[in-house]
Amino acid sequence: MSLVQLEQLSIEFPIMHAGHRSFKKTVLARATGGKILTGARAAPVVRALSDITVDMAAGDRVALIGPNGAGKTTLLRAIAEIYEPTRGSVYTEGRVMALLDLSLGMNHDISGRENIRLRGRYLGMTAQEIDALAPEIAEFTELGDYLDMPTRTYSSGMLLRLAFAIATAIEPDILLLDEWMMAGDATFVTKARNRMERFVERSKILVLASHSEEIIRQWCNKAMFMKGGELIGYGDVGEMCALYRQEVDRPDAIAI
Amino acid sequence: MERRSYPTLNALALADLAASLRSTSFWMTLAWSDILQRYRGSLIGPFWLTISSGVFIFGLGPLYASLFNLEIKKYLPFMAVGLLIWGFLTGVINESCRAMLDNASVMKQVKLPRTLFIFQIVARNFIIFLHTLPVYIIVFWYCDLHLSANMLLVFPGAILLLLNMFWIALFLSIVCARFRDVTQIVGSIIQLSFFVTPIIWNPATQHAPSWVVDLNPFYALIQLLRAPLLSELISWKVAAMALLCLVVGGAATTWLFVRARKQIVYWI
Repeated sequence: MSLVQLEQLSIEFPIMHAGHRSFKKTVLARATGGKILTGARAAPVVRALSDITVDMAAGDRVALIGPNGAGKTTLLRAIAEIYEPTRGSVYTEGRVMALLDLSLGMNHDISGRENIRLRGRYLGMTAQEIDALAPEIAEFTELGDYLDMPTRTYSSGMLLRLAFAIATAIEPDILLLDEWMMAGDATFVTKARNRMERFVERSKILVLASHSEEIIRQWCNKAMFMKGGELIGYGDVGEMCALYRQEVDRPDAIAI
Repeated sequence: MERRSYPTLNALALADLAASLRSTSFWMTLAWSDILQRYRGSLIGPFWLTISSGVFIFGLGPLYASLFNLEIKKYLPFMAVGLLIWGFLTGVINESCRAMLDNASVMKQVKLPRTLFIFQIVARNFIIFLHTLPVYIIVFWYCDLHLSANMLLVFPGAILLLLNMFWIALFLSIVCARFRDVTQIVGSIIQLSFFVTPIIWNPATQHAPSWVVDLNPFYALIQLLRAPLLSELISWKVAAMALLCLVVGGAATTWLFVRARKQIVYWI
């Protein structure tokens, strides 16, 4: 059973600058009622998501669309419970995996093989799962003897191959992706593309933040249109893309 | 569809701790790989630490013994064991100030319990501490210490010490994530404490106002291990102080952690 339930989900966070981060200034400001130091007044709070209520079930492949700053990445983080709700609730059933940054948990002083273990653990795999998957990951990377050398000696292409192979090795029920993972045919050779497609297809629920209508239409059957942290609409991909185009009032605005 | 209410702050904090305890093998792996990485390429690995603390102790020991007019075999064990434990305490304290900041990128990419990093720091420093034990064995042999049943107190002493270090590290990691200048304040306190705490001087053979010793939590924490390692009993004053620290500090940290846990990711 896989599902995602967001109910009146709101996320707020403080935007802090140097003054707010100083203990001395904060104490002094409190003690003097803010008369001496104004730099440490309460940090402004940003409402990154407000009152989002959405249900997703197995088979839903949801695109997150909206202008920059709409809260797309924040919503991915909220579903992954990296950010916890300020109000409302998030409930997920199934194994959740968020792929926001490929280089997560990489340590460049240790070997590729050791990095497979380390990064796998960060992604929530157990030691046994990694043991089982490591040969397949190693094979996919085609790194051969390089796997026993520190990853700092790798070229960026090799690093990407390694990171990508690890990230796509397990099968999450709920997959949360940022657009760049799917974008750019140039980045991924055919082999990687096939692996990515298999990986995405096997997930039961996909949430994909994207600006590209082409990618959205290829992968998604639903879309959430967001703006300024609010959910404007949730429904069929075509409808939402049309709504978005209307909203931004430019027929080609959705493509980057 | 059935709706579930979101867990309370208390439940979330408890779940955080439970998740860390479930992934014990993960943070032990992290702690080990930190150590392996630090000494990668050197032939004797982490035993560099043994040598550097050995050089420090056997270099300064005779000097201070003669400065204080004390017999070396009486002075050295107290000072040596004290220094090794102090290294562990300050290692944990200094690193915990950076715990959340150093893991900021990881914390923003995957859901990980906050306490995981604290377990990692305490484990890493404890393993490093264990690597310095050969120095203790040399001192033990050189200074003609004797084995006794008192040494068994090292086990409850270590448990009480580790529990105290856990709350201290968690508390500091949260406060330092919120207020960046606390790291410097902590550094100054640690520096001062080194001289105020009986490490290179011994209250049993040198005069010091008794409150300086009795009210010093660092003294109690060090004694939890030092006394049994020197074949002495842990005094009731030390045990009471360490327990008091654990109860008061543990309660304060629990309060802070429950309230601040959710915010940590926004501060870093």
